[in-house]
Amino acid sequence: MKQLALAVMMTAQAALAEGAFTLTLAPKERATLEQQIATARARSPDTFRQVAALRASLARLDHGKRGRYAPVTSWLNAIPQATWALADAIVFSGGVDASLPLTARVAWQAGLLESLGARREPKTEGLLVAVLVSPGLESAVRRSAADALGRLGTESAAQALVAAASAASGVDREAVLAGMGTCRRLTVTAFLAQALARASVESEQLALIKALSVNGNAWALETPAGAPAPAEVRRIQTTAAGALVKAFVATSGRVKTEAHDGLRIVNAPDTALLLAQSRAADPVGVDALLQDLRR
Amino acid sequence: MFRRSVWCVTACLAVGCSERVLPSLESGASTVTIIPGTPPIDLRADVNRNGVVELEGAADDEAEDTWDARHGAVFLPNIDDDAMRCRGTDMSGRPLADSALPGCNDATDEIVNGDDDLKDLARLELVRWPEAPAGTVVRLSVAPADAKVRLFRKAGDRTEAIDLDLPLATADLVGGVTFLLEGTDVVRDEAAWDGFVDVSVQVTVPDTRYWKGGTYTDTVRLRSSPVLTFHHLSPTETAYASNIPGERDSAIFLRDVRAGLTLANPNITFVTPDLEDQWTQDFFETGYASMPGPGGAQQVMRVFFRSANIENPFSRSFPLREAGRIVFTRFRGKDVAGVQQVDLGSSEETQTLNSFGNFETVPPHSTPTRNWPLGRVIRGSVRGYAPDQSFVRMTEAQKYQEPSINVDTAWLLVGHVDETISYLKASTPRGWIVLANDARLARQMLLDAQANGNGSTRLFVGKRWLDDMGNELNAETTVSALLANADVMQASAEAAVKVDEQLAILKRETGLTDAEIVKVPFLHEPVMGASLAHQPGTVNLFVIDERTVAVPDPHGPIINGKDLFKTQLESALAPYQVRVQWVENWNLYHRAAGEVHCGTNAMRAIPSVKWWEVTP
Repeated sequence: MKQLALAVMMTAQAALAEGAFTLTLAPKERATLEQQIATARARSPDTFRQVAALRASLARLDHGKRGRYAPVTSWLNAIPQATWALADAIVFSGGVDASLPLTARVAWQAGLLESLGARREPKTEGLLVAVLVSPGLESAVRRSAADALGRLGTESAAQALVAAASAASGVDREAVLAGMGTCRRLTVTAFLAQALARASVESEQLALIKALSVNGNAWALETPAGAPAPAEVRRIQTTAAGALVKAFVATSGRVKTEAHDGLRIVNAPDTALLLAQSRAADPVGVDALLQDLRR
Repeated sequence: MFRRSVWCVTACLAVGCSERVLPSLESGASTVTIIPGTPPIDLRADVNRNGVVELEGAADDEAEDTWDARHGAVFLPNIDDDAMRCRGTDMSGRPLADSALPGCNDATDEIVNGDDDLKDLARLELVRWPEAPAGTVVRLSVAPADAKVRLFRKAGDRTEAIDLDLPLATADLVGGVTFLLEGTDVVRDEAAWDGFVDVSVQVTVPDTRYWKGGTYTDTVRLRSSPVLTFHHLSPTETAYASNIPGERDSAIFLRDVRAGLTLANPNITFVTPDLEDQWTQDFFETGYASMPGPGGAQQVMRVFFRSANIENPFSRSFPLREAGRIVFTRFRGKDVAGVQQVDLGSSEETQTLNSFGNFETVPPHSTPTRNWPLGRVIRGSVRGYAPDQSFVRMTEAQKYQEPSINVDTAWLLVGHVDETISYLKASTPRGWIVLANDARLARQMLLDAQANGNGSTRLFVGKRWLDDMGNELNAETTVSALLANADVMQASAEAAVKVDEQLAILKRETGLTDAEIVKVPFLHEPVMGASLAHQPGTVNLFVIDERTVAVPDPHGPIINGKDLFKTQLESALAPYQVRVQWVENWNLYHRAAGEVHCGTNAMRAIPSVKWWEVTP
C-alpha cells in the first residue's frame, strides 16, 4: 500500500515536471481536467500531436524569430479545436528543455496561454487562474495568463483578475494589470480606472493605460466575443475614457501620449464631452486631442 | 596658411625681384639693404574639392585651416580591403572571433595596399622651398593627437608611414613632398573625436641674412567622410536576399524577388548568400563614404554596417548575430568596408531594435530650420525601449543624417519601423511619398465587402501553417470571421492609432501632408501584448526603384475575380506609375513575423548630392 502511494506520488510529480508550468491544482480540479483532456484526446488526437509537434519546432522558431519573441501564439491559434490539447500542454505534457533560450521558453508558455484564452472556453477558467497566481512566472508569461483569463469575459474571471492584481506587487502586479484589459467587464474597467487614478509610478501608469485601451477598445467591443456583456459596453467605454481623460490632462511625456492614444482606441461616444469637462486642466492638449478624434 | 614671403629689398630695381628668386648681391648696385623675409611655408590639400591639390594659385590655400560647406579638404576612413587580403579566419583556418573580425583592413597596416588603396588616401603637398637654409627643422603634426589618421610620405613610387615623433629631412622641404592621409576608422563617438583633423607643418628656420629665424606653421584642416545610408530615392544596384539551402519556400521567394529586379532593371546584381538567417534586412545596413575625386566625381567607399544584435550573450568569441559576419567575410573588399559597433552589455529585451529593419532613411527634405538633402535616419526608439546606444552614438556622430527621427515601435511585437511605413520616389513637389499601414482602411474594405454580400468570401486561400512534423494547418478564414475576431479587431484598432502617432511625428519633422501619404491596408493581431501583421504586411515592401516595388502577396478575398487588397494597392500606386511585383512570402516570412522588406536588402546608387557641400 505504501509502495503504491509512493508510485502514485512519483507519477504525479513526473507529470507535473513535464508540464509547461508547475501548478497547484486541487485534486478534484486535476481529475476533472484529466478527464476532459482524455475525452478530447480520444476525439481528436491530431490536435495533441500538432501541439507536441509545435513544441518540437520551438528551437527553430526561436532561432528564426525576427523580433523579441517567436509568434508562437499565431502558430498555436492555427490549430483548430485544440483547447484541451493546450490545457494538456500547460499542465501535463508541454514542458520544454530548460537549455532552450529564455525567449523560446517564454514564447512557448505565453503562446499556450494566449491561444487557450483565444478559445474562450469557460471550463479553462480554473486552470488559467491557477497559472495566473503561480509564483515565479516571467512577467511576460504572467501578462499572458491575465490576458487569456480576461478573454473568457466572465464575471468570475473578472473578479479573479482583480483579486490577483490586488494581491500582487511590483512587476507581478504590473504584469497582471497589463494583461487584464481583455476582460471587458465593468468590474475590471472600474478597478483599472481607480488604479490609474492612484498610480504614481510611470511603468504602472503605462500598464494601466494599455489595459484600459484594450478594455474599452471600440472595434473589439463591436464583436460578439469582444463584448461578453453587451449591457455593460457603454459603461465600460465611458469609464475607460473617463480614466484616460483624467490621466491625459494630469500627466506629461510618454504617459500623456499613451493616454492620448488610448482615448482614440477606446473612441467612446462621450469622450469629447469628458474632454470638454476637463479642458481647463490642459486646454491646448485637449483641443489638439479633440481635433485628432474628429479624424 | 600660405605665408607670402616679403622681400623688402631696396635698390633692387635692376634685378627684377621676385618671390622665388633670392636677390643677388652681385647685382652691381652700390648699396643693398636686405630685410630678412618670412619663409614660404606652405602645406596644401584639396581645399577646393576638385579632386586635385593645386600648388599654384590660392584655390587650395585660402582658408585652408577652416572647414565648411564651401571649402575644406576631405579624407576617407580607409577601412576597405583593396588588396583582398583579409579573411574571416585565423592562420589555422578557424573563424575569427567577432571582436577580431573588423581588425583587418587597409588602415590596420602601415603600408599602402596597392594603387587602388592609393586612391582612397587624401593627398597633401608640402610646397617646395628650394632656398630653405641648412639647419631648418621640419616637423609634421596632427591635432587632435588621437585623431584616427595615419600619414604617409610619398617618395617616388614608394610610400612610407610617417613617425610623427621624428622630424622630416630638410631636403623634403627643399624639394617639396607629397603626403598621403588615411583615416584609420570611422567616427564613432563625437565626444572622443569629431572627425576633424588639423595637419600642420612646423618649420624651425635658423636666423640667416635672408630669412627671419623662428618657427613657422602652416595648418590644413580636413574632415573624415561620414558614413551615409541610402534612402529609397536611389535605385538599387545590388540586391540581397538569403538563400536558405534546401528550403523550397526560400527558392519561391527568391524567384519572385528576382522577377521584380528583372522588371526594374536586368542589370541589377542579385546576391543570394546561403544563410540560415532569412532576415536579410536586419543583419546589415548599406551605406557609403566619399571624398572629392578628379573631374567632379566622388571617390566612393561602400560601407556595410553589421547589426549590433547580440545572439549568444554567453559566448566569449561569437556573441553577435552570426549572419552579420558576412559583412566582413564576404562583402569587405576593394572599395568596400565593414563596420561593427556594439555594446555587449545592451539588454536582451531591446535586441530586436538593433536589427536594421528598425533603421531606415527618410528621403531628402527641408524644414524651416534645416535641410536634409541626404535624408534622415528614422528608428523605433522611445525612452526605456531604445536600440544599442553605442551604435546610436556612432550614427549620430556621422552628423549629416542625424539626429534621427524617433517613433514609437514598442507596441509592435517585432518593433521595427519597416513594419508600418515606407517611402517611394514620386513626381511631386517633395519628390517622394510615404506608404503607411492603415488598419482602418483594411477594416472598412472588409466591412464594405461584407455589406456587398461577400462575408463568406475566404482569405488566405491555400495558405497553411506548417510545423516541423509536416502537420499542415489551414490558415483560411472569411471576411465575416475576420471582422468578428475580437482579438484581431482589438490589435487593429490599436495599430490604426499607433501608426497615426508615427505619422504625426513624421509630419512634424518633415512637413509631410496627408495628401502625400498612400494608405496600405492590413489588419493586425495581438501576440504577447504586442501587435503583429495578421494579413501579410504589404507596406513591408522592397522599393527596387522609383517604378518598381516587390510586395508580399496579401492573399486577400477574391471578389469579382480579383484580390481585393491587390487591387487596392495597385490602384493606389498607379498615379505614381509604380508597378507591383507580388512576392509569395507567406510560409518563410509572414508566418515568422516578417515580410518582403525584412527578407531583402539593397546597395543603391550613390546620390549626386555631395555631403561636403551640405551644412549639417
